[in-house]
Amino acid sequence: MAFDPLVIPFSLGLIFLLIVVFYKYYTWIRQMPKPKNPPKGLNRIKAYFDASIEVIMESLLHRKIFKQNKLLGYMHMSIAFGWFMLIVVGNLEAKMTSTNAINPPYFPIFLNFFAPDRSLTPGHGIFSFTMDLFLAMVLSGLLLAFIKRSKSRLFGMRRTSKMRGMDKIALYSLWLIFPLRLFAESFNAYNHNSGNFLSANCGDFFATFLPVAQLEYSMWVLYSLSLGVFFVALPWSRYSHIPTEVVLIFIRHLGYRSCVKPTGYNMFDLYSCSRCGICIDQCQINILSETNKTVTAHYIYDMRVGNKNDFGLYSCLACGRCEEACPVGIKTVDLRIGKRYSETPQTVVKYNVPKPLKPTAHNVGYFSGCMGKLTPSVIESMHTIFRAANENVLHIDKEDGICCGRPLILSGRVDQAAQLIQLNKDRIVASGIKTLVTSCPICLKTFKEDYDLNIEVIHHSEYIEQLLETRKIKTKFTNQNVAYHDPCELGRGLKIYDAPRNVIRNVAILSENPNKNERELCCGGSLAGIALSQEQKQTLASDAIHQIIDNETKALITSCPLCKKSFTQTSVIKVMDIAEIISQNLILPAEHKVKEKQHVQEFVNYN
Amino acid sequence: MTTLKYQTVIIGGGVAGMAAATELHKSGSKVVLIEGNKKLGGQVNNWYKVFPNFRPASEIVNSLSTNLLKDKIPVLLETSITHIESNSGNYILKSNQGQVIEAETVLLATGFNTFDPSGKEEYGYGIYPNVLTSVELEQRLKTNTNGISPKRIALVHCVGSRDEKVNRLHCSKVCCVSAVKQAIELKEFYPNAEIICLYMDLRMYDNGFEELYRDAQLQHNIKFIRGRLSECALNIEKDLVLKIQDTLAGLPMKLTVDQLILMVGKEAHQLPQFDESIIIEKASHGFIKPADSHLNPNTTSQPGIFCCGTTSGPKTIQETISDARSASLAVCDYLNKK
Repeated sequence: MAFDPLVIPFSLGLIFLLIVVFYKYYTWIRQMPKPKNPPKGLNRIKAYFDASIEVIMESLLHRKIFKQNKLLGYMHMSIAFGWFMLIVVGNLEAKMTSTNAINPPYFPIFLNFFAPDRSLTPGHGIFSFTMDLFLAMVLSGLLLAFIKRSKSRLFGMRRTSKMRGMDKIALYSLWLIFPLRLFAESFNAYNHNSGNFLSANCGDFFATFLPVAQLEYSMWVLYSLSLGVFFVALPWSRYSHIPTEVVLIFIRHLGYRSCVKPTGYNMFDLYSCSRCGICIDQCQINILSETNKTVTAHYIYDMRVGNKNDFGLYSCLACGRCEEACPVGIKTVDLRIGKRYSETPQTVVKYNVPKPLKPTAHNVGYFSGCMGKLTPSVIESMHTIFRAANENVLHIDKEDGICCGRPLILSGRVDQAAQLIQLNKDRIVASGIKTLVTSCPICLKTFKEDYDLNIEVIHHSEYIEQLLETRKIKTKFTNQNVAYHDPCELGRGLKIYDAPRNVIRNVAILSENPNKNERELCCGGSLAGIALSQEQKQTLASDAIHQIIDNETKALITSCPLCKKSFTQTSVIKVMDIAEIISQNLILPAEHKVKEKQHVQEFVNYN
Repeated sequence: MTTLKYQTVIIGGGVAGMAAATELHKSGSKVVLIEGNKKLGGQVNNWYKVFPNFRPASEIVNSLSTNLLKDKIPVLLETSITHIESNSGNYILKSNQGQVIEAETVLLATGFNTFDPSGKEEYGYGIYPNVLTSVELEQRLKTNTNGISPKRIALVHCVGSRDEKVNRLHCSKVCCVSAVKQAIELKEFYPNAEIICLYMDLRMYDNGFEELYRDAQLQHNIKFIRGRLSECALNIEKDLVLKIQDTLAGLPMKLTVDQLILMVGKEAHQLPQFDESIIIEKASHGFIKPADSHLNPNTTSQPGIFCCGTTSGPKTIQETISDARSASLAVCDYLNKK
């Protein structure tokens, strides 16, 4: 078996890396609860297949980053895919060269050192060309990465991540690996009159002014050393994403999910972040501070090394814009809430809650939620719509209600939230309703994801859409120009984008803003932003409004009571909930008009 | 167009502006008073009676405006200053009526606005007809149009004051005692009704305030609950149901009332537009920040521009008038030294 002391740094580094990585993954996998719906039978095989495809598309080819910016995509792809191909082709070539059944792992890496003359290896020409091609590819990626450090705007990024601690060691050793490999290979090519377009030409060039015969061995040693250092630094650096992301893709396809109570899955998420910095420009906290401690790329670093960063932890709006932008699909919101959970003492609270509801004959129940209570105009509008549609609706939390639990979850009090959720669930189930309509996207998301209710749960925009489609209510069209704001929990959270827009188009002209749908801005009022002052929240709201509306916009329509509240305080134009604009433009039959009049009269009868 | 020349322009014809105009005139300064409305008196015109002695507010306005008339002090009504620029130590003011005024000093007496509670929707203002602001109540008391007898009325203190949720951290100073005054007036209108004040603190800091508060409890049987209103809704009978946190008992409670009065706080009135070279510093609550709050309360960060009354923060009428008189001394001092 071929051996030379120069392989020792590489081999030791690799052994160290494998031990650390396997130990970590073993521990994390043990900390993962069994998935709720794991794929079974054929689906399991399909899951493995799909995962492998995703690994190729994302971990190697970086398809999602390509979509974002071609240059950035090429940079990531050239390094990942180029290096991968160097390993694959190198191994193949080593197999063809050596007569041994098993080669030591360092053999393909230092193949040119051990077997400089391979003119007899089958396909030698193709191998040597391919190896040079992929080395050139990696080197071009490195050059781009180097440029990106100072000129990130070329790559579609206003800001990029800063290197800290172990990342620096890993980064510098990574940057050295491939130039050193080029030196070693090209010197080798000159000395043995081999090589291809890159190594042979570089060898000839270097030989004009360097003593390449004497330098070759030291280059191989330095190459081995840089690999060794990189492997040792890898598990503690951003480059831990290289192996971790692959595992993450597989466990995701096998049905494992992240959780607000941290599990091993969250650890895979945490170490899958390459701190590529794509999320940085998405974070709205940027407008509040020059040195944004909140943005996920930075916060994840603090989480990994255990830095205390309370502002970063508690100022996050949990709006999910970074999660939407993340090419790896890291559940950034769950990571942060999970951290809040582990920092918060969980106590058992004795809640003084209203009695369970009595079974009723109502089919539809309406839950206005706590935020709805703070915007009574929404509730009044919903009641007007219910009356107009002749729908007999049970207002579940009219007099007394229980919070859906989401504010507690967002503050990290997940166990208390579970208590509330159980109490509220019992109450809703006891009422015997078949459909639950809620005005608040925060409640809606919680009902859908944390309640396991066996009834239909819909947002009031979907409900109004149904009423309009079935012609239970009729509206008149106004030539008003309005803008629509997608609430975080309804849009990014539940992917409900069309229903509100369809509803609005019945009564007004809807102009779309460039940040619509999954790129929509948060209103700033998020319950998750605990560390933000009201002033900071209003700055966020006012910035968002200016990006959503233009001079023609007469009203800003939203479908979340919390967004409505945040915007109202700073908006120059009228802010309305979707229910309000509909109730104001209802066409009522004559007998209804009389009823409505009576209803209004009852308000003011003693005045 | 000719330029009108004065030594001092006073912007705002409320009690502060009127008091300062008279005082400056007495000390020989050539002064003009500018008011945006048809009538002098500013916010005090909106009040029926004033605390602590239930004196009609119109008496104060009339007394001050009679002095102006007597002294033949020029007053420009329905005029608002749209732009102010500095010109070799003097100021050039342009109005919406097209006048151009040159003056050596400008005294800002622009006063305050009341907080618009429609942004604090949970209190039901603008949604339920029986929720009104303290200013609207004054109007109804003045014109005796508050309708037939309600059984229970609640007055909520600190609406738009000391409330981080609406980004207003300052105390508006006069709402506590205003609420006590209005509660007594309501009780006199509706002797059988229950009148409840929902307060955070009761800041009865000036002469006669504490006595008024005592009277309210002992003579008028007005109830005071230390509690924060969280939300206001309607029940089936169309009564207003208030959800309150009783902060002494530490318990949530519900209260059904027929009418809800919101004691709206004070916030800074918009200032005229200044040229870029003129810098008027403002404090965190949006009112003008005096150069020295103890020693020079009427001097702004811009030499030659002064402030008086509620332009630099919430004040009672009495404090406003004293402050206006002190401002006129500061203006005279500046003119003499010039």
